[in-house]
Amino acid sequence: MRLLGVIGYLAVLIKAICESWVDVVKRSINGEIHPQVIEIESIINNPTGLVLLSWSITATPGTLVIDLIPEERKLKVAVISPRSREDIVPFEPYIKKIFD
Amino acid sequence: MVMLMEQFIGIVKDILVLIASFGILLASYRLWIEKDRKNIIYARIHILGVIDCACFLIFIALGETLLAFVYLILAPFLAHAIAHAAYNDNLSE
Repeated sequence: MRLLGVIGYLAVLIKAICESWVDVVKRSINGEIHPQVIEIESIINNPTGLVLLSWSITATPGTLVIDLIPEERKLKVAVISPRSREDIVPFEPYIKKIFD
Repeated sequence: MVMLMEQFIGIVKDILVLIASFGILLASYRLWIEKDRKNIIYARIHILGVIDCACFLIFIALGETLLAFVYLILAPFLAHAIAHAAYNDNLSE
């Protein structure tokens, strides 16, 4: 079951990176950049899982983890333009499946 | 047939390098012309993220697989460190 989580995580991560890559390049051309810092709460309990989640968010262009508070499972995330929580962390369920 | 396959792979690699390079140029353009404003440092780091992904792709295409994956893993930590420092910068404004 953990293997399925890993495969799903990798697939979703690659898809998210490709989509975000194209999106940020587009924004670099048309200038529609409205960066903001938001705070989101994670459903992952394992600290290692939180680190992997943070790494994944930062590895995806257009989202960037600024701070991580493991005790409260909160992350400060900088986004290049306003977007929903699901768009920021599409791989969260898979990470939870792997670590929790 | 083997020769044909190798040529095909070579062409795909060339196309990937071209796409990645083009992406780097397009993204870098915004780095130069964007004026300072609120949270703009994070936007610049986002654009560097685009360049990081493009570099990863280029390393893969050039056959430097180990270097590519080391780069892939380390680049986000670098971006996070810069953003974290900027966020806690007491000298801002």
